Amino acid sequence: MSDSLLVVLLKDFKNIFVSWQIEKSEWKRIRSDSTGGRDEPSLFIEVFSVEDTAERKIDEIAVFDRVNNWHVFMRDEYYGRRIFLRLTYGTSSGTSIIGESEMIDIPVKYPPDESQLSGRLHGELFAISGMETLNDDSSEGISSR
Amino acid sequence: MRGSENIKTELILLLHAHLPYVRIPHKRFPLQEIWLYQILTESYIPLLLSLKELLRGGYAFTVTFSLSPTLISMLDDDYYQTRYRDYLRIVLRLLENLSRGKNPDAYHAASYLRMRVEEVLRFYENINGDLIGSFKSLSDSGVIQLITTCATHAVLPAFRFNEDLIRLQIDTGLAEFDSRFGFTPRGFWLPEMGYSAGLDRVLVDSGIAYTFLDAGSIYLSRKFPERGNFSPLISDSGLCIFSRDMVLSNVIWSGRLGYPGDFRYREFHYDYTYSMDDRDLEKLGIERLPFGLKLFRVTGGDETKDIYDPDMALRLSGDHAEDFVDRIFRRAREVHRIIRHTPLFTLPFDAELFGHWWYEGPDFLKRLIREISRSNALRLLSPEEMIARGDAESIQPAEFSWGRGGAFATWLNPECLWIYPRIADLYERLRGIIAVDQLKPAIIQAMRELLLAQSSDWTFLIDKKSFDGYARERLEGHLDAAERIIRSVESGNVDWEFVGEREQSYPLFRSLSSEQGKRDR
Repeated sequence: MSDSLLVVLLKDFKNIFVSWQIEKSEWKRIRSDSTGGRDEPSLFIEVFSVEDTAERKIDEIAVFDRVNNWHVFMRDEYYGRRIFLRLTYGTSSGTSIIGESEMIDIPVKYPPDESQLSGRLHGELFAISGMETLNDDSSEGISSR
Repeated sequence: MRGSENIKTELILLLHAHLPYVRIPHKRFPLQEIWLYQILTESYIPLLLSLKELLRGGYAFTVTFSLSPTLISMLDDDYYQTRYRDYLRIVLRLLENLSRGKNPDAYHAASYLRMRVEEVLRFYENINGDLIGSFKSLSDSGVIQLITTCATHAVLPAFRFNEDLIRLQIDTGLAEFDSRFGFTPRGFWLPEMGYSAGLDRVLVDSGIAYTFLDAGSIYLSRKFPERGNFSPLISDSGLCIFSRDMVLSNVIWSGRLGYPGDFRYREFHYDYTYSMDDRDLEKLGIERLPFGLKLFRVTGGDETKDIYDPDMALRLSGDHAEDFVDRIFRRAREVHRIIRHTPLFTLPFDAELFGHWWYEGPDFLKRLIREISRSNALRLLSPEEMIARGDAESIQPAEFSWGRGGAFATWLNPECLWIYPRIADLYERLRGIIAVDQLKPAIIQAMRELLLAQSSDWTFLIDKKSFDGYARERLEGHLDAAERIIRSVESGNVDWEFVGEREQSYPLFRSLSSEQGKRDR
């Protein structure tokens, strides 16, 4: 991703914003590599989860264009995992990487079901945590709500 | 309910003070500067007065006070000091006129407000406008523990695509604080409590020992600590974390259930300046602007507002302080039953809530601290005291903020998403320039513009559709200026006149260097 730009942001707990801007010279090379320059390349956003050091692909979304913005909608597999995203293009032998995001620690799905809470204490403390007021409005002037 | 049966409980109270950098010299009273002057009058100075009174009273406590670098820059600038005195003089004249009115209730409310503003002015003159010195003296006495935040209050998870940009925000913030206070704080407020993976490591690299996160970062994390968020926590990188207790803080914070919404407190919205006679304003040579004359109380629903009764409101703030202490004890019993350990409640708030939005807030805090200090079971501690014990539990926090629903959509709202790729692109271009000495002032000004564009205030105001025109103007103005400077440097033809104009318009972060934020990784 030397001269190209990839911006990946966790927008809310339903979707991830992905924006890319591939340099023209890089795009030309990708086209040539992917389709021999005859056609537009096939681009993908691949989503990987990371456990310890092992990576596992949990999602793949077909995307397009040299410059574009995309919203990746999170599936259940995303929640409670450390993930990262890769922008790739298809070649005759598989896929090649254009760019890669930083690691993202996706929270456990809210409200969590019992299986997501790690043990009795977590369940009991969650019940009194006040998390159910998460979406309440604040008093005037609290800058974030 | 107080006495020996109460469970020993520890508390951290944090007040985070921040305002965006605003400087509009061609107007006498620009609305956006009035924000600062109103908040100085209603929050910052009354809070200082309350804390000084408690210090004189010999009460044992520490409040953690976060001052944002943009606010620090404005507090320490003669430009604002002169204008603030002018503002206070006008407000006093307006209140004096109101005190001569025919309605005895309004007279009483106006006289009380006038007495309070006079007290503020007296204090300001006594310290010769040196609010930084005043905060420093409270810090030296141990009553407050000072910390700071990002240079322009950027929500850091929104800039995760470039770690140098995040470091630039952190390091510039720390340097600005250090230049005024003479030391680098070990605590750091993450704007909007916005946390993303890896921020702990970046903060530790910058010398930060602790920060504050919302409860969701703990309860929705994959690795759950046995004491929940009722104990100090420590990340894999060694960053100490104190997490907000939502239940207790909501009693003050919640718009629906919180104390500030009580019908007897002073109402925030209606400014009496809008009801004043044109001739009265003309005599003073001022436009009709919200100078902060609030003469009504919350009252209730859509009823006609009643005149503010300061005696009733002050009695109520005392009652609420006592009620809050009872709630702390009830909460402690509830938590202790599960964790079997002394609970710690971390209570962070925007400082402006106390005074500006909730007029009686500083009085409430003063009474609350007195109550806490008098109790054998309660201790109001600094994060440093908690860290010194060394019994923090391990955590890998989830990405979260104290924004709407815990997410980042306020600042990454659809109308603002375009700015992030643009900032990424401009910053990459800026870093691609070799900073030879003669280009450095231009590079530094482009960095300053990028920093100012990252302020969370602009995206927040756009999302809230409040002063969004001004927010867009600032956001686009800083990005356009950065682009113009970067393009001129790239072309080898720097427009020094433009660079100079921008430096004059935004004279902050004087110690910014072209290398700031860069790290060898």
